[in-house]
Amino acid sequence: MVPINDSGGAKARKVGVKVPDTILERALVLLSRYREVSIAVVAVVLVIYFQFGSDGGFLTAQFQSIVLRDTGRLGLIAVAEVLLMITGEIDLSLSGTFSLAPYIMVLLSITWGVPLAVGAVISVAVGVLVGAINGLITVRFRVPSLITTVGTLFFLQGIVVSIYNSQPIIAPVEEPFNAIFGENLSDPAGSVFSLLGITAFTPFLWTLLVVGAIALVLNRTSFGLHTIATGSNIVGAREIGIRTDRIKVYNFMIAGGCAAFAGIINTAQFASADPQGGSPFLTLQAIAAAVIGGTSLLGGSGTPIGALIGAFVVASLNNGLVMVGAQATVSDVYLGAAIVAAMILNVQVDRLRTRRRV
Amino acid sequence: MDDDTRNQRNAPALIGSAVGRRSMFRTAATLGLGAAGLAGGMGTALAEDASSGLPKKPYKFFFVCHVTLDQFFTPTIYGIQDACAAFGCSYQWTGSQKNVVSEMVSAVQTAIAQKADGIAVCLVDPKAFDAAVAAASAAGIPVVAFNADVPTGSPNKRLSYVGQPLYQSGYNSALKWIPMVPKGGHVMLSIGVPGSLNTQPRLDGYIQAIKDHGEGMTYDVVNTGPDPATEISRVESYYLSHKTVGGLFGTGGSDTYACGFVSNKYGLAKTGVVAAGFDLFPQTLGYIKSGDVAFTTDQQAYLQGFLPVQQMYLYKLSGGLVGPANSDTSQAYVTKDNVDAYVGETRFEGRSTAEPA
Repeated sequence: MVPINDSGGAKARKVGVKVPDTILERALVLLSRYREVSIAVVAVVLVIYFQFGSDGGFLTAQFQSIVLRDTGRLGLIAVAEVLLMITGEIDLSLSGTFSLAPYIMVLLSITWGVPLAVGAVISVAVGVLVGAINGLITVRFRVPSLITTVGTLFFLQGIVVSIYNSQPIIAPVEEPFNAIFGENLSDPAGSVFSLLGITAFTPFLWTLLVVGAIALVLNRTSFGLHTIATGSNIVGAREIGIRTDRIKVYNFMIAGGCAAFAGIINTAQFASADPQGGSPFLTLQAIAAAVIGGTSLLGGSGTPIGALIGAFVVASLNNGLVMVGAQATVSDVYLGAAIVAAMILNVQVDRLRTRRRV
Repeated sequence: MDDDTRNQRNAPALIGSAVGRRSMFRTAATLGLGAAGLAGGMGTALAEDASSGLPKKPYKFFFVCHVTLDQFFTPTIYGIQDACAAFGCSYQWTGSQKNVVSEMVSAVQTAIAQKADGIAVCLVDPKAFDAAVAAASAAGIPVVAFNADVPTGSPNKRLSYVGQPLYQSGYNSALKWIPMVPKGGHVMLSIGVPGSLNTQPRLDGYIQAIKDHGEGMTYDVVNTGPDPATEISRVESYYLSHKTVGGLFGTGGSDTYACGFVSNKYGLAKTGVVAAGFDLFPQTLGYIKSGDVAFTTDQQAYLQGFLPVQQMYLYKLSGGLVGPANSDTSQAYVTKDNVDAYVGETRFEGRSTAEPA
C-alpha cells in the first residue's frame, strides 16, 4: 500500500500503513494479519527442539503418524471448544460424548447387528442431542455452561459405564467403514507414500477437513459472523436482531457432533470402545490447545486453524517428551511447564503482532 | 505390625468376649463351619446332618472404592451381589470416582453414621483412613480392606486384607518375565498415573526385581497417561525411539493393553520382544491368544467382592468369633495355555451378568 503524505511541509505526519521493507518487517506484517502465525512459530520451535533432541527421529513419517493421530483426536475436540469459547461458553462434557458415542455405535452393532455406518450416524446424532441439551439448559435456565457441562460430564460418564457393565468392548471391523474412518492399513515398516500408507494419517485428514469447514463457516457465513458477535458483544448482537441464545445452542450442537465424530474415528482406528476412552484430561488438553492456539477464554475471538496447531503442539509434547527420554515421574512437570511456556511465547508474539497494527 | 501380629492382636478381644465353650460350639455349628471339626470333637456328628445352612441376615455392608466406575470392579460388584444373595445381605457401592481420598474417608464416615454392619474399603492411602477405620472399630463395625492395603506395620485397625499384595505381585510378575528377556537387555516399564496407589507398588516391585535378579538389565519408566489412546501413542513413541527395547511391561489394565497393541502392530513377539502386565482387558486377552502378549496377571476381582462380604457376614453372625482373614487373590497368570477359559462370557470376569448354570 502506498504511504499517504499530507502536504503540510517538512513536519508532515505520515498516516496509513507503512510498507514493509525488510524480511523482518514482512514477517511482522504476516504476524499482524494472521493470528495463527504466532502459535505456528511455537510449533516450529518445538519441532526443531524435538528433531535435534531425538537425533532426527521426530520428523520421520512413522513418528509423525502418531503425533498427527493424536493431533486429530485433540484437534476435533479443540475446534469444538473454539466454537463455544467464541460465544463465551465452554463444554467440559465433550470427553463424555467422546466415550459415549462410539460405545453406542459398537453396542448397536454387537447387540442388534446394526451396521457401523448406521450406528455412527445415530451416535453423532446422540452427540448433537447432548449438545442441544447442554445448550438449552445453559440458555434457558441461565446456568453457566461450566456448571451445566460438569453435570452432563458426570451424567454421561455414569451412563457409559453402566450400559454395558463398564466393560471395554472389542469393536467389530467392517470394511470399508473402518478403512475410511481411521483404521491404519499401512505396513508399519513400509513407506507411507502409498495408497495404504496414507491410512496412517486418516484421523488427521478427517480433522483437517472438519477444521477447514468450521473455519470457512466462521469466516465466510452469516452464522459465523453471528457466532463471533454473540461472544464479543452479546447485548449489541441482540439489539441488531441476532438470536444469541439460538446461536449458542447451535454451537453446542456442533461441538457435541464433533466430539462424537472424534470418538467414532478413535474407535474405528483401534477397533476398541472403552468406557474410559475419553478422560476429562482429553477435554483439558483440548482447551489448552484452543487457548494456546489463540482463542480467547473471554469470548469473541478464536481460530480453528490455531486450535489445530495448538493440538499439534500438545500432541508433540505428549509424544516427543517420551522420545527424548523424560522419565515417568517428571514427564508431567515438563508437559505442564512446556504448555505454560508455549502460552507465554504465544502471548508475547501476539503482543508483537498487535503492536504492529496501525 | 505385620498381618499375623495384627490378627494376633485381635485374638484377645475375641477370647475375652463372654462366650463360653458350649456357646462357641453352638455358634460354630450354626455357622456350619465345623462339621468336620465338631465330628472330631464329638465323635458322632455326620456331615450331612450337621447344619441346616447359614441363616440369611439383613446386614448392610458398605464398599468404599477409590475408582467406583472402573471396569476392573465389575466382577467385584458381581461377587458382592452373589455373596449378599447367599447370605441375605445388602450392600452399597460408594467412594470416589477419581481416587480422591477425602471423598473416600467421608464415605467411610457416612457408613459409620448409617450404622453399617460392615465396611470394606480400598485402603489406597497409607495414613488417611486410620482415624475413620478406628472410629468404625470403636463402633463395633468390622472393616475389611480390599484391592489396596496399608503398608506392613501400619496401625490401621482393618481386620483383614482381601486382594493382591501389590508390591509382591509386581515383583513376582517381573520374576516371570525377566528370564524371557535376553541378558543385559533394556526394557520399558509403564505406569498410567505415576504415584497411583494401586499401580505404583507394582512398578516398585518390578524395579526391585530387576535390581535383585536383572543381571545388568536396564529400564526406563514411561508415564503413559490416563486414557487408552494416549497410552498407546506414548508406548508407540517409546518403541519407535528405542527400537532395541527387549520388553514392554504394563502395571495396569489399559497400559498393558497399550503394550499389547504396539507389540501386535509391529510384530514384536516374533523379534523376541516380550510384552506382559496386569489385568484382563478383553483386548489384552486377545493379544495373549495371538501370542503378542506373553502373560497377564489376574487378581481375581470377583473374589475381592465375594470374600469381604463373606468375612463380614461371618464376623457379625459369630459375634466376632470368626475373624476376617487375609486372602491373597493374585495367584493366577493368564497365558496362551489357559486364556481360552477367560475369553468367554463369564460373570466371574465381569463380561456377563448371567449367573453360571
